Amino acid sequence: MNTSLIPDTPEEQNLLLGEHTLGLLDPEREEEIRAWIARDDEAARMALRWQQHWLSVSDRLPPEPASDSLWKRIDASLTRLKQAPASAPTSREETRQPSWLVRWLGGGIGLGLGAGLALALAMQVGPFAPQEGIDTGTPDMAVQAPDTIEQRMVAVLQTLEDPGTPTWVAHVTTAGGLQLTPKANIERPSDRVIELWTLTDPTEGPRSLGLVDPVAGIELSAAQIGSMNPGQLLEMTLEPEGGSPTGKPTGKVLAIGRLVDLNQLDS
Amino acid sequence: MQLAIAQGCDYRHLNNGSPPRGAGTTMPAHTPSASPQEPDTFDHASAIEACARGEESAFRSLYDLESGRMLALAMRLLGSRDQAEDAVHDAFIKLWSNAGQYRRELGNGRAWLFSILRYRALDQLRAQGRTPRGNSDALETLADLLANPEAAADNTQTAHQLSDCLGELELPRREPILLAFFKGLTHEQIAEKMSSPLGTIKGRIRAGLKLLQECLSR
Repeated sequence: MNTSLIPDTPEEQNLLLGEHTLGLLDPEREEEIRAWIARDDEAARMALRWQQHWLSVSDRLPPEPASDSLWKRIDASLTRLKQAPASAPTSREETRQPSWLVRWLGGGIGLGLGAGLALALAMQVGPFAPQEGIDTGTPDMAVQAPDTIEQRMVAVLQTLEDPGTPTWVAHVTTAGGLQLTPKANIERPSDRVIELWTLTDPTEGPRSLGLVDPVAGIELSAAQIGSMNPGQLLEMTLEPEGGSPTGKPTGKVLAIGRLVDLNQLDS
Repeated sequence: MQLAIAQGCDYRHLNNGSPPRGAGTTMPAHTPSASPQEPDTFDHASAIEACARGEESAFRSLYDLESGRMLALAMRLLGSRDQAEDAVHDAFIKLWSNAGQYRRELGNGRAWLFSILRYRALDQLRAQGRTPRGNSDALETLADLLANPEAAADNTQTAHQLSDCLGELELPRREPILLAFFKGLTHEQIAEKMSSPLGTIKGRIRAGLKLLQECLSR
């Protein structure tokens, strides 16, 4: 990860974290700050101090009585959570420097295509490539009225060994789903499966998006993937049959990439 | 979920930093506290650590104590009760899942809990394109709240200070900070709402935060 965007002085860092706690930062910057907080105790301390100070403001609001149904929903979700395959309660020492974080920050996160290259690759091999027999009408989304602009986000996933070669292309569909298409053959042992992950909240860690068919790819609905934002990481790892036993990536990273907003690149 | 009430701990009467009271203390079954404990006399850190150990009574105590305040903040941010309840639901599930990651040496447990809610609500806003919602007079109401020190009588001394300091800021610096905090607006949206150049808004917020820091350190 490029840390050069993090200010050098504690005072500037503190002000930046104040802006973060207010939610003022753009999504890419926001993700960078969350990753910084996850790996740097002093940043976490400063951010929590801001949060504590803001409590004095939010506490001025009169409490809203929660409905009975809210607790019932939480209760039901908790029951499901406890019945789910072990996502292994982690000890404090284990969570101090989680292996997924070390790997994502140390290896994966630094790997990224330049925005221009991502756009070029996406246009060549991605979902926006012209298709034979289909009149695309040369859509120019950049000149559509603002309220009709579609979100066009793609991620070109690369291997750590050969970062110049796209292996998979992911794109967020107009319905808010995610479609992942293989662009190169990924070899895997017969007793291993490929699992797709995303990282939205460093305090939560990578979240599984499910197992991926290495030939057909995968398509997920908006409800399955949750919100997707520019800069968000996607990663595929090799896992035992049935998927990761811990709920977090455990095997080799096969490919990794970030979502890029093509509308931003157009402008 | 069947709460292990009889076997659980009651964290309502603990002071910050105190070790958990022994097991066996009972809490009213599934009814919100008749005389709600105030947040500053509750040991959030110990309750979160108890959640990490799987103690459901601690989870329920946190819910009883904080769900109303969390819901109030989420409703301000998201503009609807349904969405706010979604955010509070997700925040509590994440609390249970991630309680093992909380480290009290890094900060206040209550701040950690509310930061989970705030992340969740802001993510919801981003997913929606962050369209500002809610009553147009929200800021006036909040300005009234800030102008009334009595309204915050239940806060800790440390927590009192920022709201007091915020009240001391001149309006051009205070207003964009309140718009960000309560409405989840970005720099750009605040600039548009206040009909001011983006750079001006960024500068005012930075200057406002700096003044708040100076005020807090006095």
